[in-house]
Amino acid sequence: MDIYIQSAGTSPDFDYSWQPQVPPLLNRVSGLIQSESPSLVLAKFEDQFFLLITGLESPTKKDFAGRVIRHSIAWITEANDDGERITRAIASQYLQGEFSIGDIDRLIELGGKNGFYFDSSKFKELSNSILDSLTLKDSDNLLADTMKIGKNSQDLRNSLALELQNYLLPYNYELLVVVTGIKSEDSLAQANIWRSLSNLVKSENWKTVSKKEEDLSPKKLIAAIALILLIVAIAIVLLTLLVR
Amino acid sequence: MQELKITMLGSRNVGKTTLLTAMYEQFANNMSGIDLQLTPEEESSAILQERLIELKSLLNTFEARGGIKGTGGEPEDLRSFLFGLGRKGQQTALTLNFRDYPGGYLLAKATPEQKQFVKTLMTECVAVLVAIDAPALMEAKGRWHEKINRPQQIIDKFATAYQGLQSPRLVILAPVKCEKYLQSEQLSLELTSRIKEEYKRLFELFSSDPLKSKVPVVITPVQTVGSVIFSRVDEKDGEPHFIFRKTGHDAKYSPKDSEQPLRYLLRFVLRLHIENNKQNWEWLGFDWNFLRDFFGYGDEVFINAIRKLSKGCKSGNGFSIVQGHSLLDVEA
Repeated sequence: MDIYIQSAGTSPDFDYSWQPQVPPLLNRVSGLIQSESPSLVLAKFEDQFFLLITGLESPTKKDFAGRVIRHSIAWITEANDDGERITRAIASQYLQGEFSIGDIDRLIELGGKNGFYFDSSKFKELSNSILDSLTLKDSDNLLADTMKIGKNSQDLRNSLALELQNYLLPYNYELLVVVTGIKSEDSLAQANIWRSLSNLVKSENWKTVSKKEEDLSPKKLIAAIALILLIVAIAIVLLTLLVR
Repeated sequence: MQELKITMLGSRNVGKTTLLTAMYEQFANNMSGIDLQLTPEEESSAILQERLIELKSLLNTFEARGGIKGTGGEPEDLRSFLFGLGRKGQQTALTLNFRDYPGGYLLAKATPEQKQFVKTLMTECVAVLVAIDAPALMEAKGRWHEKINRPQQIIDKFATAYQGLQSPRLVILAPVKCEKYLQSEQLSLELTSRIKEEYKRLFELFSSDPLKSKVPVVITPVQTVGSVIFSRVDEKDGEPHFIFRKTGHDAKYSPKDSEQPLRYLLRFVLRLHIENNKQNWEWLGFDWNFLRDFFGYGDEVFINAIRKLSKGCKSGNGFSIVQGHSLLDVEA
């Protein structure tokens, strides 16, 4: 498991930055959320799970201007059973509002050459303790194929948390969960996300969204035309042979 | 549809997002009689509304500290604030794309991607609003100006981006948090004088032969909250902590002059839009714009809007067009 933290230092010299580096998969999800607001993204890219939690307001740390410093955390785990269980557990606890920002905040120290620093092993311990505190069931989700969207309310966050606790993640989605502040319903619906919640979605209940088919790219279009032409050519040749 | 990009330039916590929020909020209140509407797209509108609530909540305590949420993120995460600009009740004629980014991108320790992001923005944007923290510039004999406003980085960004500049660019220097410095003519003169002193090299760059005919430059001080005034600087561990206080216990959010930068901006972008439209009707060596005017597709509404915007632009007491007046107005 790799842990990445975004935070800021107190001084004007230390603006928000990711340490030890920008998480490798961040650019594939960052456009889906309003990152300064409390947000969560859970995704599976090839052989890795990517979990991102942003906008965690520090209860103790402020910058030089008296503004509350926000933390974000990204976990990257292997896409195996253990990786899936830990990301489901953390996401589920966060969605139920039981994620202790105080615990996170204590593990991030102000100072150092980047304005803040942390011990990655302590974050791994904390992540494992979250997994140990929850009982996860590993049933297959019969409704896994249905994409749903709704308002970012505690009711729907609880409902999603239960789903994550009780069922395995669907295997046919890259973007599994997005929960955020200000993001339009259209942009989320078009992104093919298994479950998405936003403050800009009006529906108080889960609403089914139909999966957006991939646009036919020019390359695919050319390949399709070439295939049709080939079939026609073969048919003509066969017909000619038959007539003779 | 034509899209014009605009960006803010300023260090961390100087007030780039606050300036954008206050400009938009004050637009509707101060533009009566002008046949223009500025319509934010859904996400931009919701975020600006959220920031406005934060800005107003600064007045919940008598000794105000803090500010609205700082902008964070990597270049690919950063959003655009999109506004449609057009006649009231009619379809949008052009899109204004405001780009915001974390002030840390100007620091020497910014990543190569972050530095490149700012460089590209400066090259692409038709207008740049430079937010200047006025208390840092004015207080303690400017002791904190370098640390907070980073003037050298600002000057260097312009010097690099405007090399070989081909098309016009508007530069607005907007000192913010100016409540204390616009209380008298004497103070406002001091503010202008400090800006000209501290950004001398920038003004010299803009007035150089290749740029003076292409870069209009204006100074428009903004009273960001209106009812919160600079009180003192506390120093802790070598870092400045600027303290502001409310002008009274019941003081309300009442920004002043925050629409002024937008007036100049709209004058400039509407003029660009008109020029662009004119060029679209010049074919085969002939100017066919008379046909456009004859059939009622001319830009008379926007020309009138520019004139009305000009009338509402303040001058004196800290406000001035430093150069390039002709690029902000239309011919009589």
